[in-house]
Amino acid sequence: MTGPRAINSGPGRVLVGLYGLFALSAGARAGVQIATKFHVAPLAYVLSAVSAAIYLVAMIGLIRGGRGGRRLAIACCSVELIGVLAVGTLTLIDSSAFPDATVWSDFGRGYGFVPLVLPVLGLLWLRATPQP
Amino acid sequence: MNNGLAVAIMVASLLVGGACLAAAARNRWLDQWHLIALGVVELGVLAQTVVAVIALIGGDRPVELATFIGYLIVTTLFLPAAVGLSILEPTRWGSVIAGSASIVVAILMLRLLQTWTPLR
Repeated sequence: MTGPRAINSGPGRVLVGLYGLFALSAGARAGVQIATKFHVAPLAYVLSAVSAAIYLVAMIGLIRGGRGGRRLAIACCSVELIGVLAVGTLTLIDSSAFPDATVWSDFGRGYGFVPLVLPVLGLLWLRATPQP
Repeated sequence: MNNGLAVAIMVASLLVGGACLAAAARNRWLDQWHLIALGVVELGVLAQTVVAVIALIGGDRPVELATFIGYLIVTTLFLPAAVGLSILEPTRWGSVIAGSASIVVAILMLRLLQTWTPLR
């Protein structure tokens, strides 16, 4: 253990749980959509799968901690934040680009806006913890 | 799916979740009775799973079968996984994990009901 303020303890463990939950729900959603109706909205479903992978990698980064884990988590949270902002904006401007919902559609509205808040929380937490 | 049982699970999981978050607000990890209450919620979830599986075997088909089965698996395993993570973190943050997870169980139960609606 690396002390009480390591990125994988305390609030960090809550983030691990949240990232796990979103990796699972985005992944399950993508799996069902790709398996049953891929032709309807391929872009949206691939995006769901990509977001699930990013949540999973972010979770791994947070669990591993240390310099590498931190760097991985920062990269994933940044990509997520950019992704949710870009997709959220796109779905508002041109809803036909995403005929079926993804976790990031409308800034994650279908998931209580947690997809929008999560990367911000992640980045704040990574900032608050001491660099290894 | 048993509607009455689903409502009972939703109410119980929200109450237990609130109690866990109250422990977090007092800067404490869960007491034994929190863990027992979480166990009772999970027992309700397992009973609901059994009801759903029997209905599926009996020929009932939810509107969105694949989604329903996905939710069913996640709902059944979700609370034990979260409590496991909470035990790894026996601080107020562990209470946050267990409390949020219990509240999510209510949402999952609602989604299960929505994806059910048998066609038969």
